[in-house]
Amino acid sequence: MMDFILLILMRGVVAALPLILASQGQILTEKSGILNLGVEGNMALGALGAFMGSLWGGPVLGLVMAMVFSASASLVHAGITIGLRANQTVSGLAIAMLGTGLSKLLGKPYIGKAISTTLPAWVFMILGLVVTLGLWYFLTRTRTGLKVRICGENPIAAESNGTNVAATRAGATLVGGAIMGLAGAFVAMSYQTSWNDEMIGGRGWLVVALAIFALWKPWRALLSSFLFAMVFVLQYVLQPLGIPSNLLGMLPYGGTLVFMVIYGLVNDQRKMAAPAALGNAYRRGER
Amino acid sequence: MLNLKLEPRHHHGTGFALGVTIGSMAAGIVVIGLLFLLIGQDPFFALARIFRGSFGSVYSLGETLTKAIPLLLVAVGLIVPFAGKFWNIGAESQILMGALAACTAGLTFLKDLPGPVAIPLMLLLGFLAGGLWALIPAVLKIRLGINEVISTLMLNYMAAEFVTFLVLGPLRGKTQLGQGVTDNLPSQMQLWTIPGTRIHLLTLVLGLIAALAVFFLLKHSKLGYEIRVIGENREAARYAGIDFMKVTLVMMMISGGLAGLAGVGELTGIHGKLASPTTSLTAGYGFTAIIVAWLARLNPWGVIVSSFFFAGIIVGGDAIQISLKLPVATVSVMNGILLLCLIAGDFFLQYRITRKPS
Repeated sequence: MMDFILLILMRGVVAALPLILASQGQILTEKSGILNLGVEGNMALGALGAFMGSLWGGPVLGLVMAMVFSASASLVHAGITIGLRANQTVSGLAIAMLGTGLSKLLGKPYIGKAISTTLPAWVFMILGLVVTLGLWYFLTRTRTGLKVRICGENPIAAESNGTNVAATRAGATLVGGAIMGLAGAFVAMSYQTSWNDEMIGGRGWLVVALAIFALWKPWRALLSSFLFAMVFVLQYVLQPLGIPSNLLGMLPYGGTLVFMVIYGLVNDQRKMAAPAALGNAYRRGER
Repeated sequence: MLNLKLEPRHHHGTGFALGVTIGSMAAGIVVIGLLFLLIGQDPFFALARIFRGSFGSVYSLGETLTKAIPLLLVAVGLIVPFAGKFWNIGAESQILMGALAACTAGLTFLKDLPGPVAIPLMLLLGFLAGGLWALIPAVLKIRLGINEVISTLMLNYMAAEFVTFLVLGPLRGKTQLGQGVTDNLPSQMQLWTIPGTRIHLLTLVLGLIAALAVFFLLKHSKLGYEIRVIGENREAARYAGIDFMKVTLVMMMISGGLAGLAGVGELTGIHGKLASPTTSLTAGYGFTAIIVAWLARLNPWGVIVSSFFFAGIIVGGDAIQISLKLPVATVSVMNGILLLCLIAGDFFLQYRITRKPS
């Protein structure tokens, strides 16, 4: 019995890893005030980069390319939402669409192929912890992190203090994107053994919800990822009970909804935890 | 640095907006061409093939029009919540729920009724099913503040799994040999199509009527005014005492209902049954319609044109899938690129670039 529980917990931890990494990236981006709905696209491109990199030059190249590919998507998002002040919701949706599509299109030659040197999960566990710790420290204990937070809360105040809001937001979006790439890398290099089309499988959308549920705090995101992941794992635990697999397939998404309902019930309607300027375009000098 | 500065543009003519839109699309097509180059295809050949595949013959025009019908219905429906800045990303499942309701009814208590009685009933049921399903995220948003992008997306996934479960289980066809397929609907429940094509005329007409209705709703009704105020200035809406709950519920009922109609249209006009995977019926229309509505800048008449355009991309995309052996995802990539170029181009509608005085 104990073995069984431990096994479940371990599966939960492993399933949580991409969520942990991606949500940290998401938190960094959104703390600066940029709404990002494109996580699914970031992760898909990260997975592609990781796979291609691993095939060409081994795990390190895989991780690097994962970060580069994902950050490129974030670059587009940042350019359009910050530089051109476009609607952040639609831009994020477009990135999600484009990212997943590109991943499938460019990944087509690799379907069925496997990487010879996969990375063990514990590498990503350490990465997850390091990133969480690092982000927490960055946001709460450094000056630059403070600047990022002010950009997200009150960009006008930030600008009057001499911060370049556009540059800070762009930086946060790019670095956040790179971190999300690592999540995609985990799926491609560790979780699965060969390339297939539906690598990310909707997890990017869970990350969007996760960041909200975790009140945009790194440690909460770590724990919440585990919570969300356990619902994933629950599917497989319940399967032997004879419940049809498609009904079980509803669990991760239904679970996310339930978590959001709990979040909504517990927190004030005005969502005091959200960065106040999240989703609003900012133009220097504008009131 | 560059002696240029940005000024907010306070108003712009429709002609200018149209010009910017066309320019954005053109830029998008160029980027798509570059993409083809990147993957080793001849961009001119590929783009020409897409065009030929969607508009190059009477047959292709027919196919394009056929695919435009659900896009038209869903996109017109999406205009309503989008005008209120309520991001309904759940049209895909609203389509599905409409089809599910109509299919279930058609196979059970409607099955002995003649076509002219059964079909309107199925359309009504589809509208109600899609609409009611869409009320869920509306309530979640107003009551609990839950982000509607997340709730509608989660419901998309849940609906797909649920319908797959039904099709593999309780609704599994007894006359079909396949695993995940329901029985065929009785033949009187097939929509009439224009001979030689698959254009189911009734749903097309419904779509055009819906466009007209939404036009009047948004421009000339109190509710439409309230929707637009919520969309443009939430605070003002609050001060004005607009009932957010009521407006949001109605918005989503309309949006989900029209998507449900599209689902019934696909069910009775094209497939005649429900199958798994559910995307065989919904075909991403719920997502493509978002772009259709956005390209038309939430204008119902513009949607008529843009739904035809994006139907062309789908049909043309099918053509190059076959001839150039490209994956299905190519269409999503093209759509994503076009959407990004579109919102990037919006910049020119919001700002003007002028010379800084020296």
